[in-house]
Amino acid sequence: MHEPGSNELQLLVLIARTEESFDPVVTALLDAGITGATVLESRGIGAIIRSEMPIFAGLAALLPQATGSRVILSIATTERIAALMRYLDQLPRERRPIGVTLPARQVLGLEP
Amino acid sequence: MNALASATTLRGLPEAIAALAVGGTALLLAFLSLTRPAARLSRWPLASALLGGGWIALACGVALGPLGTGLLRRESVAELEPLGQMCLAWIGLLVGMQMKGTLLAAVPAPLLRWITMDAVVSFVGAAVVTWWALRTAAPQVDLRVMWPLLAMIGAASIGWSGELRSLHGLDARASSVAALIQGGAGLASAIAIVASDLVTLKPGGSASLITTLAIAAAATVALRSTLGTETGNQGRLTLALLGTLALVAGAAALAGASTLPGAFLLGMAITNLRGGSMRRMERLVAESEPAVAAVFFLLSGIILGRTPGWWPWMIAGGLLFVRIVAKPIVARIALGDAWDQPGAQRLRPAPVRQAPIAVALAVAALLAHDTVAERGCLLALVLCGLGSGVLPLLWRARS
Repeated sequence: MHEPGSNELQLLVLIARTEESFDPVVTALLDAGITGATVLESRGIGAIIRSEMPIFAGLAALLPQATGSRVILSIATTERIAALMRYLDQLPRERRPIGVTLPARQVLGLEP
Repeated sequence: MNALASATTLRGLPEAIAALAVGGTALLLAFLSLTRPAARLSRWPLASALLGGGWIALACGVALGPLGTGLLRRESVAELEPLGQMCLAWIGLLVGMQMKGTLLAAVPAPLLRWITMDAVVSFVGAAVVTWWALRTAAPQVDLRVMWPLLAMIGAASIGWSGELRSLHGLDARASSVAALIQGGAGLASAIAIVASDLVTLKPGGSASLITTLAIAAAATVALRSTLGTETGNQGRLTLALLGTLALVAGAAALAGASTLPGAFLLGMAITNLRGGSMRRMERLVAESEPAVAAVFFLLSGIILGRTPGWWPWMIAGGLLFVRIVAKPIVARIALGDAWDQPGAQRLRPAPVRQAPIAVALAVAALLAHDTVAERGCLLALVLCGLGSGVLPLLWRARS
């Protein structure tokens, strides 16, 4: 398998499913030297299914549908992402985010 | 003899095996309701109506019980009553957990107006038609004797079902109306529980209710201080919640009160307390809703029995009439122009459909006092729920 070089850029996608799992992710990003990231409020498909078919409870429909789930997007070097992943992999299962990286072939608008 | 205890025994088999058969079916339905195929099935509008109203589980219960195949008969299986009480407690917890300060503060004025009008009109209308049906069937019965049943049916008629997929009502153009309907359904469930327990209080019953609420409050404090801010151990949280709920439900049953208000208070306290453990409990309870509903409606179907006379059918017809005539008018008056916005046409039958909490209130009454009157009221509410669920689908099919 081709291993990208340590200075190559990658797109990092992390999904923190709860409020509790988001906090260590931010700490880990900073510790790994990744100081730029975009955070999007998100909803899991389970929350969508539940909200579409409430049986006894439905009052939450009145509020913006925040479930605590967040998607974190960042572009960083392979070296920093590797350090981040090592740290996140050691977190307890409940606080560990879902993560994936993709090679970033062309990058625009990112400060060196 | 309580309702569940009197409802089930496998013909010719020991009681323990009968309880096992019911428990196995309950577990199977609960498991299936949380699986991917059930979620996929709910994308189909008719299946969404059947699952959202609890009709599939209820039909399974009816099939097992005396109304169906007769495989299960009206004899003593006392082991099942705690399961029924726990289901009711969990439902109370679910409804109570909506009572978060931020959520209540977000209730808009039109919805408050709608719910208030609906509560008054539904309660009075349902109580009057029930009184008429009972007077016709049994003219000798005193109104004071009837009052708890009239009040229970009145409270059960408040609100509507929040399930909108079967109406193709999740249209982005009418998202504000859909949110009002779903939010109103949740708020109405809470009002129905509170109204049912306050209005049906008998002389001396307030002591039982206060005792139950005090135990629920104490249990909440103990739960919070025991768990602290723990967030990591799901098993411990689940066990603590189940234990607390069992304590509250058991105390209510011993005090002769309904399980719903104590659990409702517990849910309300948990949702308003800070701490990671409280948030995890909220998620656990919210995610369990389909499973608990499946078990609850299965048990409801089992205890559903034949009642002498046609009066439950008369009550059901009267309640259906009130829903069809009064609910849309109330919605139009309360919501004004919002009711006519593009995309909202599909949602118009939504308030007609009876809320699932209605059956929970009837089952709670039946578990407290198992008489022909309570059984008849449960049958009437099930029939009304079925009728009010089918009519909008027929209306949509025709249009």
